[in-house]
Amino acid sequence: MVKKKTKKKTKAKKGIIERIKSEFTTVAIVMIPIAIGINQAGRLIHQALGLPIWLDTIGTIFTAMLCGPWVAGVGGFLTNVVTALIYGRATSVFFGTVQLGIGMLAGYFTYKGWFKKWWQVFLGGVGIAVTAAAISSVIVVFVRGGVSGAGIDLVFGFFLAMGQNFWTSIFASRFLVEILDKAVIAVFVPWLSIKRLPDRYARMFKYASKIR
Amino acid sequence: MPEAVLISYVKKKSFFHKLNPLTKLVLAVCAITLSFLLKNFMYNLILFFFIIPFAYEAKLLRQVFKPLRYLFIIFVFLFGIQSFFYPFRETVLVQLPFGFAIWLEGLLYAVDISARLLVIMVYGYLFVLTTHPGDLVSELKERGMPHWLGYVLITTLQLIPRVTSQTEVIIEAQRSRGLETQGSVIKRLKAYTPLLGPLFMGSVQNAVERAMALEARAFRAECDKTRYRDVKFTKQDKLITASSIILSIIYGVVSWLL
Repeated sequence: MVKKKTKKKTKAKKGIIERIKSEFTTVAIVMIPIAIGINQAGRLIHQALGLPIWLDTIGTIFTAMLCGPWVAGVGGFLTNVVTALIYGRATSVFFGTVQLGIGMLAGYFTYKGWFKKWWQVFLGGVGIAVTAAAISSVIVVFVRGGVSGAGIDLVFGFFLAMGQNFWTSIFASRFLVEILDKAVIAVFVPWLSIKRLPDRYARMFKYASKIR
Repeated sequence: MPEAVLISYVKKKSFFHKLNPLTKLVLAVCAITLSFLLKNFMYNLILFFFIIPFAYEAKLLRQVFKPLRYLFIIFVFLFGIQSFFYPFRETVLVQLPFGFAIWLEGLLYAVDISARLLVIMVYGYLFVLTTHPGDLVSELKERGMPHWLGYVLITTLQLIPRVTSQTEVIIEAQRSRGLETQGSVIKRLKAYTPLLGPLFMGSVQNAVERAMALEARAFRAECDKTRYRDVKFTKQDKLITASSIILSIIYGVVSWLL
């Protein structure tokens, strides 16, 4: 049993660098800056509609569904590097790991072909929300003492005041925010768009066929 | 239409501006790493005030403290939540009515975190203010960063304003077709698809066109690429890089020994 496992691992390792390299086609590379742009533009739509749905990872998830986990991971992390470069907020680099996790997870789900039916997409969205909440809780405590300077802090404070454990409170408050964003909008709209993408464009992307 | 590029780089003539981007990056990374490792907030505050000579040299003394405005809200919440509800509370500092109290440990924790945030913000911002992203990418490429990564970083700075304005156009266009962006939650939830759909379609089209244009110009060719911006790594850069690493190690060790 153990032998089998190690054998499998080495086999996968040999192929993995090749696979990562093959994911970075020219179209995929070009998608990265565009995904970062969409992540930024999501904020505008958030402002126009005024719902607590941030859309700041929507470009990352869209890229994950088109170009796979590695490209999306790089794109997600770079989103925060670029924000740091533009606005000089060095703390945002730390939060890049959240985007990295989201991108890689969404890409992995696509790679496995788990984004075919709508309920699979919903479950995937929940999974992404849990991951995002977990990573961002750790980072937010590590960097900013658990506070983000927005309405979510009131939820966090409420849980703490109710006598909840520190980590439970922070995770719960983050999850409440993420679940609305990820499971409702940020996975479904990209998925629907890719389903309706014209064939001549879809053909250019390696992972689009795993969804349609 | 002129291409707007989003950067906060401020062009000034100073010794600090002329330094190699990598030197400044090392300096900023040293300060940020130190801020996590120092023993308590006093050392972080000293590190924070240490920015003043640098900023003065770079002629950006006032600008460098601009991110503090953004930090203010975070500080309000940080002190508000942690001084009341810090989980490892033991000592009551001020007893308030209704069973609330301000706790000493929570207050100290908040001070610790905020001193660290001050350091991170200010040093990061000084780096961004004095370094042109083009120079940084050029230098990093020289040091072996893949060519495509440099392309991605620089293109993003140009693309963000463009995608943003494209989004504004989509929002206006859909509104003029009668899309409701106000009203009940259900109505607003329905508005996401018509707003995001065109954005995605447009961006895919854009990506495919750009990729073709790049490939026609031998983007994937594996050869030496020429560059527009030329950056030099001088002896001064070597000296400053080495001394900032050594000094921060000394400072970190001293903070734990004293």
